[in-house]
Amino acid sequence: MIKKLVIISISISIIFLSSALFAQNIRPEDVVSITPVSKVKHTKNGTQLDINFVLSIKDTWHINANKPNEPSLTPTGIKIDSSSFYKVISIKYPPPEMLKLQFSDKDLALYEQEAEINVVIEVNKNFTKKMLNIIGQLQYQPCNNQTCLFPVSKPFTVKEKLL
Amino acid sequence: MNSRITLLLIALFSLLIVVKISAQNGDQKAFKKISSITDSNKKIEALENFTTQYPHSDYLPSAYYSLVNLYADESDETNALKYGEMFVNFYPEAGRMNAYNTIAYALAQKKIGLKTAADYAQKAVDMARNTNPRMLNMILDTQALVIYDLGNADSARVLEQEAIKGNENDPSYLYYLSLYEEASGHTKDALVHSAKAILYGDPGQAEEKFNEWLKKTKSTEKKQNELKTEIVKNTVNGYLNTNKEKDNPLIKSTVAAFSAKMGIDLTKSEKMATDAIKSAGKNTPLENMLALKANLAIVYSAIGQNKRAIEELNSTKDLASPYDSDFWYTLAKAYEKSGEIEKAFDSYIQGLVAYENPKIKSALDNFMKKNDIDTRTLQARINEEKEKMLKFEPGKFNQSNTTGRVVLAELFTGAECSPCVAADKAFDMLSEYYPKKDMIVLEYHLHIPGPDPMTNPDTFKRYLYYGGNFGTPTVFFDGGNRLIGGGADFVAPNRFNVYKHIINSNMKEKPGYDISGTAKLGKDNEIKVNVDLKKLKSSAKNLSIHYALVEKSINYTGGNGVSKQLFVVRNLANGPEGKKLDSNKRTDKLEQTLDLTKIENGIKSYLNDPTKDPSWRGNFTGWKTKTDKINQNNLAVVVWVQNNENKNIEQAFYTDVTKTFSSK
Repeated sequence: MIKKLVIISISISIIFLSSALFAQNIRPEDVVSITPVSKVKHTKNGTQLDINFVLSIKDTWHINANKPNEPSLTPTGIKIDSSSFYKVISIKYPPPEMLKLQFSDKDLALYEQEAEINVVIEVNKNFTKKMLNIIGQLQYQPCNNQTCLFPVSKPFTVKEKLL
Repeated sequence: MNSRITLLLIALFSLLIVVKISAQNGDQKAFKKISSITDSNKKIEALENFTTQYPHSDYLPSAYYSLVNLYADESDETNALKYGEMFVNFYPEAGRMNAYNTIAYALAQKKIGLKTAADYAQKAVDMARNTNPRMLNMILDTQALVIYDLGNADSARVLEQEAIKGNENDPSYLYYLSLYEEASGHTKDALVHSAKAILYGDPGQAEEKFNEWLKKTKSTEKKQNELKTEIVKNTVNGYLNTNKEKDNPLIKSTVAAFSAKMGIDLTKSEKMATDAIKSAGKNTPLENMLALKANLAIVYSAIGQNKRAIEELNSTKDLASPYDSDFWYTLAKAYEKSGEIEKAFDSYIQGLVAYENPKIKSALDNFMKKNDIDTRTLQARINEEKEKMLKFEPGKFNQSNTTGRVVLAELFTGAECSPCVAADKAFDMLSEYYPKKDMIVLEYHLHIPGPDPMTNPDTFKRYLYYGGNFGTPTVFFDGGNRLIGGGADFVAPNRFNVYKHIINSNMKEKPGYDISGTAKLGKDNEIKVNVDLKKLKSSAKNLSIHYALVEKSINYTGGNGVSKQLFVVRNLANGPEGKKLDSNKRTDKLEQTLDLTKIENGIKSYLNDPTKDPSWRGNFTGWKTKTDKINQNNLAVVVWVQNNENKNIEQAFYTDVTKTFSSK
């Protein structure tokens, strides 16, 4: 039951696999899956896209928060490629979980299980096509209690029907 | 605009930024300080002050969540609910699904504010159904627990039936489903699901509950046994049908251990578990061998042969990970059954020292009650055990009749990598334990998880040579036996024992070559490495000779707190693939020059802008300390012969670098 707690639950104890010291091979790209959930808003100033990027982080793994409390750690960050069709209005990161991991004597600012990054995009008025493609990358660096992986930039594309 | 006003505005704006930054740093420091408070009343006071002092802090949800739990522990429902609501309201309305679920679960666990918990759980479920169906299982799981706590077991059962979809073999879902089934009168279903939970890794009390519920179902012991046999057989058949490799020793051994735990087919189980160990070849990974032995011990324990169970487990005790809860649970139970209370307590502690495993905790709670042990004694013993692990002394290797094989252990590590601490320390122990004529360690630094100034292009190329698909720490022994993973500092003795086990086993293999030689540093700052190679038995083709320049120790404290970095690879002459060998020659004399000036300049240039190199990831914000100076007085060269196709290392050799001149 405990392992089913989601991102914002603050848990000091970490769940391990029973043969936890024999960690399995895993690529950093596979630790986090990204699901964009978007809403189109038509306002008098034009069209806006409100996208929640839901990051699902594999059990037992964590990634650094957007503002890690150690300068050497790679922050989780989302980058939207620039385009003449839209501009990024805001990017909001979830607050970190402060976790004291067993190998550290201080709390670390992390995301576990699930985190949602909110991005608001304004579509330019001169964009007249039905489908808008938004391309970007999510940067993160995963660790668990046994191993750390390279930071990675994972690409994504959001396809949104505007009409 | 008047330029003076512009300047004033810029100054004011800068000041605001500075104030904002210092406020952010202030809240971080304040929150860190609070997390170390142990007295609950003082912690509540500090957290409440924090929430008023830093009303815009990123740490507010953490503070609210802690307050919910602390007040719930004090049975103060009003305040627990107040901070639960503040926690939920911190998030924008559309993004509250997880917040509702989190508070609902916290309240259900503490059995407080259950009506509000039910309301939150329902909201989370509604949101998951509408916007995030992937999260529905775990959210329904919480809702089921809340509803069960409110006394409606039948509704909890229906909810958990939906929650388990897609997770049908998850022991935790299975156990909770069985709990709700039994409470709502569906005892047969409860028995089926708790049996399955036991097979797939009992999360805690499934075994105990199964036996308790079985007694309720049938009037006679004979009828109870018939029902149990039927359930066990069906569970095993279901398990075998989902596993393609039915002949895999581990699968057979798992079935044997499960049947034995349930008290069915004991003789057959013993044979299956014993045969599984016999059929495991010498290439069976260590973790599988440990599992096979643990399963045999479970069988021995079930047939009342606790001494044999203990013997079996003790034969691999040094290799069992502190995280391997099943191992320590089985050992503790075997000691408990054979009346060795002190040793049982010790084994429970060993299983609890790395983290609070619920299965061990629950068994230990019962054990402590039975044996009148208080929590203060327990805490003292846990601290004692950790202390003992930290003071571990590896001793010295004293085997004289070796085959002449020199084992090469290569560690990929990172100075910022916290789980690398156990592996780093275990490597320090290895280098003390073994003479260099028996075993050599090399450490390749990588920018994992963050920038590490002991990384160089060669260390990354060597990482790619081994596939480039693993994290840190990872160890290769003679080019194989890849072992990923480390842990906290107190895990180092276990890592050392596991590494030692593999090294000693590799040492039994005869070497393919004999290597001897010298490495001499001249005034021209060049190291001349002269090697004599003698072929002993190797028939391998595609062999290469490798030369690593090693700095024996570097004082550098990374983010993981390790302050002395040992046997750091500074350069691989001829790259990660080495230099091709003529495998037809029985003997060979080889010379390799290592130009120290060139190597040092290469490192300097790399560290000036590491982002140009493919080894780099992330952003570069400069170095805390550059480790670009090579200490001439502290160098060694490691030479080895390796097959670049299958990566097998035929033999290795270590020599200190000696100076051919006297330095002033």
